[in-house]
Amino acid sequence: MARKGDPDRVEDADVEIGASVQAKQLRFRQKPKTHVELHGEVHEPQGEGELETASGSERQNLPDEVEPGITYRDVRVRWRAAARLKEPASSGDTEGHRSERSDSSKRRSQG
Amino acid sequence: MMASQQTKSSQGPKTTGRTRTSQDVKAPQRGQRKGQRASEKSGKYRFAQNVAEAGTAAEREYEAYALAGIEDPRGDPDVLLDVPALKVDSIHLELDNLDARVALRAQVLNLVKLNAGIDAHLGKLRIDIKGVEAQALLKVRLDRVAAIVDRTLTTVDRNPELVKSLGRTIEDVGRGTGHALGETGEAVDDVGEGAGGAVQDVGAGAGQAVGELGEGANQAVGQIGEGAGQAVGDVGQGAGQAVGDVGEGAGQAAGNVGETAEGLGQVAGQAGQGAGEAVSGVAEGAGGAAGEVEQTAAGLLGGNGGGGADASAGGIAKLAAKMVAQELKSAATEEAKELGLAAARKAKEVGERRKERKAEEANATEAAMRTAEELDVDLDEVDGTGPEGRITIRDVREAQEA
Repeated sequence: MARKGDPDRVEDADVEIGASVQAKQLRFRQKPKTHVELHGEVHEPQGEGELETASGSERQNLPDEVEPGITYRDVRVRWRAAARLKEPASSGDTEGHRSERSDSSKRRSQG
Repeated sequence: MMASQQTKSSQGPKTTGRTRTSQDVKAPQRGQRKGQRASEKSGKYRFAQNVAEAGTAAEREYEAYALAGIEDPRGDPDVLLDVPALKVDSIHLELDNLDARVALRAQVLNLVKLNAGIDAHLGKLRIDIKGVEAQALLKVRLDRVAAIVDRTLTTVDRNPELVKSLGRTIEDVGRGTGHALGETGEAVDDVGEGAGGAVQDVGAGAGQAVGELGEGANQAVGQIGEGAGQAVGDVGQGAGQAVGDVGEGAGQAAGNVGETAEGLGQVAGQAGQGAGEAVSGVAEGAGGAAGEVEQTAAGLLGGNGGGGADASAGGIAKLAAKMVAQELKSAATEEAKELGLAAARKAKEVGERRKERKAEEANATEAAMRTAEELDVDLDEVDGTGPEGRITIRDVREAQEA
């Protein structure tokens, strides 16, 4: 099963959307345009946080770039996008005298 | 704290052909999903033909997919949108701009800001699909967010001094105070600038006054000179006139003598004419003497004689007055300049102190303040990442880019 991206790279996600489809026959009349964007920020008094994201799909009998007019058979696709708040390394320390920093990350993937 | 999910389409899905769907949207307990599975339906309504004891292949795959996190120590998600089975025999699907969004946001005053979101966009989609089995799942977990918030509140509990920078009300008050102080600072700045301007004006006025004084003195001295010249001229003219009058009187007397002797013969007549000529010569000599007196007077005053007497005296006085006035004006201008510069320096110091106070009030570095002014960024909207939350240049730039 071909993989585009790594849909399972992030485990234990705080938010995620997933879908799986299987079809006996699938034909595109035109090339679809998709866009996935993962965004977020982690701002804590304890320090800088990060956003860990993942987006990707597993495909069976379906190429990464589909062609209009072609009938694909016995298709399976599983897609998942997930994001996890990654806490600051110092999050266990609650003394609160550390500097505040913010981090924003934005990752995009075209599928 | 909130979790949101949104799915929208500018043009809803269009389906054609025969469809048979089964979908379940709920927040179930795991393993307790209700609704009839495809494998539980009768063969007439069952699309999947590979039904076994464990269900259809799609059901088995979905179970593996949906239950993947069942051993997750975090337990069930707090928000779950579960579409366990969507089955369609045949469908022609047209979609325009389908957006699916899920976002998790949490904020505790200005201490904690958490945001995690997924935006999925599907543009135009035109597909023919047969024998479809689809599942969809959306999960949001809040326990990590809750832990972060809990940790933050613990931090605040242990460091109550942080509270003074937290509350929105306090922040507003602080902002108002900051504005007031800013305005005060600006007023002080204006006073300083005004003082500088006033002193500069005083200096200029002083210079101008001294200049006018010089010109007045110059003019007065010139008038004195002119008066002196005129007086001297008058003296000359009076002297000349007096001598002329003497001559005329003498000539007239001599004429009268000649007329008296007119009848006495030619000799007497010639004698009278000679006397008249003599008197006339006396009168002319007197006039010449008076002219010399006038020239002498003018010469004593340094003039070139004649009508130049008054001009020469006035010229000297004017020149001297001009020189004095120039000296006075120059000295006054220098003094005024010094005063103006001192006032400007004072105003600058006041302005700098005001900026320092502003920077302290905004809890920002001066460089960050300057950058914020250049980029037109409101520091109230910037979160500081420096020591003790101090706003740095990087914070300002990041806020401007955000």
